[in-house]
Amino acid sequence: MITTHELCKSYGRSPVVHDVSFDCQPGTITGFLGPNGAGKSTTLRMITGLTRPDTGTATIGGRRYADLGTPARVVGTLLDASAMHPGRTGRATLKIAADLAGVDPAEVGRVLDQVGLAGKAADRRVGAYSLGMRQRLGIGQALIGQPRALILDEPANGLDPDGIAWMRTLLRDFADRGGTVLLSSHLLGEVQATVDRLIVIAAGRVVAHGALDDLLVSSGLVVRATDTHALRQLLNRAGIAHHQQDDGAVTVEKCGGADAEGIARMAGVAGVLLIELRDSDRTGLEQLFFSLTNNAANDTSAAVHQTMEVIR
Amino acid sequence: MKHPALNALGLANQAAPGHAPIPFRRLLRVEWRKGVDTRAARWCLGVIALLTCAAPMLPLFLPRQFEQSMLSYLFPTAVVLALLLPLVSILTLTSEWSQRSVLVTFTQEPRRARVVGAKLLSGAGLALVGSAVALAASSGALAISAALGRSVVWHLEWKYAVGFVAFVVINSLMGMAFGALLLNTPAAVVLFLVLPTIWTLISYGALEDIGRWLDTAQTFRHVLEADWDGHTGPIMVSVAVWVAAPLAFGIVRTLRREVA
Repeated sequence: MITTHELCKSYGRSPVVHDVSFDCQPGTITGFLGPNGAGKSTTLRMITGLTRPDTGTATIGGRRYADLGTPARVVGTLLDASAMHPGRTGRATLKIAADLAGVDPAEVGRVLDQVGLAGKAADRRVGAYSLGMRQRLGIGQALIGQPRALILDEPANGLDPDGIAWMRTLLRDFADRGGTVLLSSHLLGEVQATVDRLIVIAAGRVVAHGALDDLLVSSGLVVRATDTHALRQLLNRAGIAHHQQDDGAVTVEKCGGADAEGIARMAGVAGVLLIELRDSDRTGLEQLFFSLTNNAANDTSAAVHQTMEVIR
Repeated sequence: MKHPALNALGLANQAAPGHAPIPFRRLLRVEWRKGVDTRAARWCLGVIALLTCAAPMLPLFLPRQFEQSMLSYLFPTAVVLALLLPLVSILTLTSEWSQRSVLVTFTQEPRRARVVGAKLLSGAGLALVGSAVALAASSGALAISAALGRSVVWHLEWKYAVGFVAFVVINSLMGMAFGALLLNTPAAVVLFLVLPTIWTLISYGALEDIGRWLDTAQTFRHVLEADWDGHTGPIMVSVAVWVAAPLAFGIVRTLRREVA
């Protein structure tokens, strides 16, 4: 539904976005993640036709944004909630959006209700809104054309925990009905709880792209024995790389061919009594994020490629 | 792509939603509403309407200095409208950049030239409405003058009516051209007010010959006074240099400018 192909953009000599390719499928929520200045907003602006890419293409449902006759009917956008005229009321703002999208003016009331701005708030000027209320209004603006896709830049910014939970439900609903969602965020917990797919961008390059569950897969085993010393000797003899934690547990990398069953058998034969044997906790998104983005920030594209290999 | 879930949403029923371009009249309606529905715009327009109604009081209270005719009642309103309406119209082109709402506007209609076109037409429409208000205010004041027992001339020759409206519209277009070129409110307002005046001030001596062609104080006055004979050339050149050229560059700039 939303596809980018080798998007590149430089300002002066510094490349801001380099070879960014990805696609977002109907029925999924894709998180677009990266540190400040990584090129997230520039990429989203290239998709929505506000910034012209140097090379590469971006399409929505197979067509360039500029070729969409009434874009609001195809893809709802919220690129910056603070970019609204402060002198207009929330209701007037939505009326304009509804008129441009060519939808029934009655939609305005329904959407105000949906984004939690019905009643008094609707007739207050946007200038008097909190950031959270502007985000809600911006999401309403994106929804009013009943689009099949949403592109949201930092939609959770300024929302309180209630608001974030509300937005999560709303987006999940939208995706479950066949919609496509692409949202950028730097709130990692929020992303982890909301999205099914992840695109991580650092220094203008995509460093990871895939299903959240695949990216956050656990990579090791935690083993604990009554006799830690004996356990480690056993692992050493078998040539299995491992590492002792402060709490006495031993972690084993899975990639060495070691699995839980093998270790249990070995321990049984050697008479080492295991008291714990389980997959290590999934890599947290935060950990993944830092490992990916730090490498890229140190640049050297070698590091980037290495990281990508690890992810694969 | 008829996804079953889309059917449930009722979305697949709309024949390829979003394919048809936004009709221009819809853009025009929206730009008109955007021009008048903010608090700042309402205040400005209210003040301008008030001053337009007050302007014919000048000939009404000074019957010795002013002819008691429709034309002489209209002239003071022309000055008010030509000076103040362009300021409101400049805002329609510049304020979206300073409020950054272009981000929304140009995602709603990526064909930016159409948006600029709608803004220009809406600004010209505002100038027409202003002219109508001026005509009504002048008629009212003239009626009071007649009621006071003065002998008044109601008749307004067509060419003067046309000249009056053209004068108001051209000034608005000039303001919007400056707005489109500079995309910055203070710069556009200051240059709109100051540049022609500076030109008038230096249009002496060696520059006098050129001044006759470019000094809007002279050429636009010919428009207002319907004094076209022999002045068509200078009027056209003034419009080309002060309205058409900045507008053309402004549109190109708007199309190319990155929205951040």
